Amino acid sequence: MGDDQRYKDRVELLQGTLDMMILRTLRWGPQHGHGVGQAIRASSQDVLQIERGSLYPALHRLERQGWIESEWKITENKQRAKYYRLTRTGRKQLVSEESRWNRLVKAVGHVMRPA
Amino acid sequence: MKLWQRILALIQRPRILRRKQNEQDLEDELRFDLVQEAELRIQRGEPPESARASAHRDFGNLMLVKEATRNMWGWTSLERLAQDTRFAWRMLKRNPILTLVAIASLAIGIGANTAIFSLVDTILLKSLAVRDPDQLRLVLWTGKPRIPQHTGSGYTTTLHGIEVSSSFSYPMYKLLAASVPQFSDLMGFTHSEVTVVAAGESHYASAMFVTGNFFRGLGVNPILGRMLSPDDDRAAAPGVAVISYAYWERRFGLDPTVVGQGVTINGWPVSIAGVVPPSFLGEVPGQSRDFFLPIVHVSAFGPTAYALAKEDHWWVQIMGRLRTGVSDRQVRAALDVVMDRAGASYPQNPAHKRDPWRAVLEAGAGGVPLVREQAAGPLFILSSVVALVLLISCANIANLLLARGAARRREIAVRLSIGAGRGQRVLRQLLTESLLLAGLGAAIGLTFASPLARAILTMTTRNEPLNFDVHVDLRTLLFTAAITLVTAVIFGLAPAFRATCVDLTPALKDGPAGAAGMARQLRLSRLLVISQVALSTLLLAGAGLFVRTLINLTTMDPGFDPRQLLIFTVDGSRSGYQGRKLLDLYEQIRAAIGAIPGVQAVTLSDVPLIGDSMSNSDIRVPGYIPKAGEFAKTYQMAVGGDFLTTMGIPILLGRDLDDHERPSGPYVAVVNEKFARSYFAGRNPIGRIFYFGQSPTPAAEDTIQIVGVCKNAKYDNLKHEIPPTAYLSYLQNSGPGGMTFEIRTALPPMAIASSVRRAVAGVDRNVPVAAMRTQEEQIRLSLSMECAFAALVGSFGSIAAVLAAIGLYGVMAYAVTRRTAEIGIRMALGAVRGDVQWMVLRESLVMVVIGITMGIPAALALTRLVRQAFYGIEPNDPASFVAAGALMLSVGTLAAWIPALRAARLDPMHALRHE
Repeated sequence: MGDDQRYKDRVELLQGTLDMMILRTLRWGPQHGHGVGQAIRASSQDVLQIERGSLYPALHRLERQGWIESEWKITENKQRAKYYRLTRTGRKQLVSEESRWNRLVKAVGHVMRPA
Repeated sequence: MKLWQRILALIQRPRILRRKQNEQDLEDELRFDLVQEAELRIQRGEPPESARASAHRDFGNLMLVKEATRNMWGWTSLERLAQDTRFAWRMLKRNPILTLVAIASLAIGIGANTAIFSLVDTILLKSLAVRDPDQLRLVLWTGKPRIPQHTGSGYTTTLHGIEVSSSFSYPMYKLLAASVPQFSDLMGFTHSEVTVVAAGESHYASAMFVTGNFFRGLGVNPILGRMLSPDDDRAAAPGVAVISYAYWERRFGLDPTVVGQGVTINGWPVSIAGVVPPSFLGEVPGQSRDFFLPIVHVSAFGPTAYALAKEDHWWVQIMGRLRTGVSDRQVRAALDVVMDRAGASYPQNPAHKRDPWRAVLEAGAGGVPLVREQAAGPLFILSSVVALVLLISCANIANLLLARGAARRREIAVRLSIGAGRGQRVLRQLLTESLLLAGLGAAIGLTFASPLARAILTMTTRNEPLNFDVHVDLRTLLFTAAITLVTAVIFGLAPAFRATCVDLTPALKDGPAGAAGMARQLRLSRLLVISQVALSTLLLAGAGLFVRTLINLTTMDPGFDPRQLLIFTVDGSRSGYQGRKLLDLYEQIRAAIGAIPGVQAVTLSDVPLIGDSMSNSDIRVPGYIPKAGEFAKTYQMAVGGDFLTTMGIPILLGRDLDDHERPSGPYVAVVNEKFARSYFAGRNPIGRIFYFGQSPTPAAEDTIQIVGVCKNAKYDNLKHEIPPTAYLSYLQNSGPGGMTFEIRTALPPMAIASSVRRAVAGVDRNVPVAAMRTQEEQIRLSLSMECAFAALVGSFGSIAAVLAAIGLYGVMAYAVTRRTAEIGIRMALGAVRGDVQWMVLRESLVMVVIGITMGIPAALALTRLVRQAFYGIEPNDPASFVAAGALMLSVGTLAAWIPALRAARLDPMHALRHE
């Protein structure tokens, strides 16, 4: 795949969407950064490949905002890994982001396919 | 994390440790990601080696990811600043000479600007230390007839194009105070020198005569005792005075029992009622008063011109406090009603035009702007000069940074190419370095700003010392911070942008391919050097004009012989002597001094020569018809016997005044050549008559017979044209005041000073001696402003020239280094050392000459603005400009010589291998 092709296939994320997806992914339990990236990729059927340059800043930003918190754990392979977990305010944030997202999807839908 | 949690964390763990931990965590987190990714790929069947490589490749730029993530950490901007600062410090340390030069020139630039600003702030901008100074208004007036002003700090000035006067008669003040209720208080005041006898010792002091509501109206409260009140300002009230804090300290050592103590002022007993706080010095900022006395007693012990009851003696200055909600327009309207009526009925020669009298209001927050008006011009010149110096240091540092930026091209290119976030980080780094430089310069500059400001104040006002508390306060600090920031941006920005616009590939190769960028950068450097040279030439030309002014003034012939003369002042009128008795006192003092061995002659005059004080009058000369709109005028001086002979002013015709002029007349004068030429057009004036004033029936004492003509001599100021002058006998003066004695001696004048003091004390020990100095010192004092300016502008000009030379040297030295290979080739092709040397020198000289040719027209334009500061030369004085150009040229040549020599000494073989 040439550079041009890759560029065309890339889906530009709306502002804030990545944050919402990270929060959503963490609903199923603590996860490290790589895991979060893989989960988003898998559930989007390989459409969304989050770059590390976006993912890690987003994780650190969410942590600073208090929506997620982190903990260092030792994995089965005896490696030190940083696990992120949703906080209570993070859960609330997710709910409000989801409803905002749903409204947006609906609205965009109306615009694209007028009844 | 909440703020308090963060603060807690900060306290618990030292910042630097936590930062290291965070960095380590980030590193671990990303490494872990890479490992996971690689494993994922291995599980999908990639061979381990290529899996690890592709994981790395697809991860993206590790540094960028870290940088972007770190950006989310909050407070990192602060940490980054610390990091940048540390890095900047390391870079500055690496080039200690460059750094020292930069910091030194910035310290001079910023320090000098801070000093001048603190003067501007203190002298021009500060308000009086009173309650709500913005409510205060000075009341002035305009219109015709104009009335001669008799007062210490009273003045006539041009405000918005109209001629206004500051003084009123006391009856007029009373009338205004009674009829203008828009002022909560309308205060009248004046000031005068007085003689004080306290604890058996006599001295002169400065007194302010104020109306009873003065302190209430200003809102100045006592620090001890009480202030004056309207009750004290009644004719029947006992004599009381309030003293200044400085006087309390100087004369009473801050003794709290001073309240109630008695002193004698001009022979009148007065008791001290209170002490004014140290923040309030008087009505004219810069001048300080020792005593505050009720204005009602001014007739008793003030100068005779200050007469309370007389309608035609205008000596009271007025300041009012506006009631809240009252506009200037309303007050003016109320004042104008009274003024108009008074002006219409004021007696005047019917031949002269009348203009209705009108009140003019001026903001009173800054007090009486007497000093301010005189200081504005010199401060404007000094501000411009120091601003130019700062600009030159900026250009200089920009140049040094530019050259170093070029040396750091590789480093910066490397940082940019490994992805230092879009150049911003590098830009920020470079600006941090500039700020650090400017900050260090400012810190050093601040250490000498206050002493410099005080030194400049003392230097310029040695003639009449001003009392200003000059120090670096918050406002000045803010100013300094602002100019430091602006400076850093000015000198830091160009090199920073130039540095970050690096074309990466050639810069990384650092070979001859970078020559295009090099040429661009040298062009900018050359431009900076040229502007430095231009600005320095401008300053040097200005310095030349001031130096020439000073030389003209010090070498001029004043028309009298100032050598071997001791002068001093006494005022017996303030020690109870009046009329005949006062004249006797002065003649006794003269005789006592005349008996001192070594004294050749003693005389006296009402004002000293070159003492910046003068009096003049309208005169009428029979046979002389003034041109339309012109009044015949003469300066006058009341002098003792043999004054002209003693001062060395030659008598051309007739005789000198002597000790036998009779008080009853005939009234006589010696006039100068200028007088004779102006009013007698070449005819012999001896025996002719002129009259003071315009009256058709002049009084006997206004009818003056000319008994002699003397050569022209300077009167009040060396810079002024010699006016028509009449020397009158002080023995015929009906109301003499203080006199200046002039003693001609064969000894060094100051050697007889103590004998003279003893002689005066021997006549009356209650008559204090003041201002004892040589006549030459008197002239030097009168030139203190000119001396200071020649010294200050000269020093700043030299500093500027040295800075420009450093800039030129830097650029040329750098150019030679960069062109080593080229020079090698030229030499290999047969250029001799002289050719190479001349090549480098020529390049420098071209820059210097361009700079000079740009600086001179600028100097021509700017010095024109301050032409009144010069004497005896035109602002386009060729000598000053030629000298400035020549000086700049020689300094420039010297600066370019070293790199030129170095270029000529290059070993061609070595040079060729240089790349």
